[in-house]
Amino acid sequence: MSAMKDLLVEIAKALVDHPDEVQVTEVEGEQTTVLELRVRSDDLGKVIGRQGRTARAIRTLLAAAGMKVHKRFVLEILE
Amino acid sequence: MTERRHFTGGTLDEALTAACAELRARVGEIRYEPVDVDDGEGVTIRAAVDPVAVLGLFLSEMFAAGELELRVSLKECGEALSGEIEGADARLLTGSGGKPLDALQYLANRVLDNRAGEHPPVQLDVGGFKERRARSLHQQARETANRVARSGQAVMFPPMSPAARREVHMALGEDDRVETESQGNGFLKRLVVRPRRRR
Repeated sequence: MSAMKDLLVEIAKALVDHPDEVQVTEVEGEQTTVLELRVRSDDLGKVIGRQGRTARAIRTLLAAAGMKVHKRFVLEILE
Repeated sequence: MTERRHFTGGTLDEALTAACAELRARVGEIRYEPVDVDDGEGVTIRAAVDPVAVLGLFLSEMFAAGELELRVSLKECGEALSGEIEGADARLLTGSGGKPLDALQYLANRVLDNRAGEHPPVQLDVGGFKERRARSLHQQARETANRVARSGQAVMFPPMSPAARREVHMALGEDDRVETESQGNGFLKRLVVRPRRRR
């Protein structure tokens, strides 16, 4: 497991009501890695937030942490 | 602050286990004190989720998971829960005008909303970064006001966070040469400084 995936798992688990159902799949590309986040459907709002603010904050943090490993990370939230 | 509730068990361990299950927390995340109960058999405690502990654990576990060299020290001061972050990777947070630091602070508050109920607002900083950022924003606001007063032309700021827009509004509130206004909606809102209309 990569550090970025672990980072996303920790953040998502802390935000939701059902941490056991948090799943992150890493799809590695050449320049960008897609992190697919799955949570229980009634937890979707918790990781997206009002006007998408929570999702945007997570993306901002992933981008900052990604600079350390010189990679771009894209967050996809899946139902 | 979160309301404290009573939990009883045959032993302190059992009372703590009951409290953790009910409060959806780990032992390190609650604060408790023993309570004397008259007819009591076993141990009764009064316990509540401790926002400082929840936040400290969340941040340190997150930093460890992401292999980030960061540490946080938290303290409750006045009406806020303030956290000072340091470490070799702190510049990752203060880059891009401090957007990652703001994002982390936003997430920290949402985590406590979810885990601790009512809580003091979390304010995170890296070595006085926010103070320096506010000072340079104030200076930028003053320079912009001078330019607007001189030229009579309105100036639009680049997109900024609500907190940054508030700083500029406040910095120029007393300046009777100009007026400030936010235009647009949501996170695309932009601040405009224009010459004050004379009556």
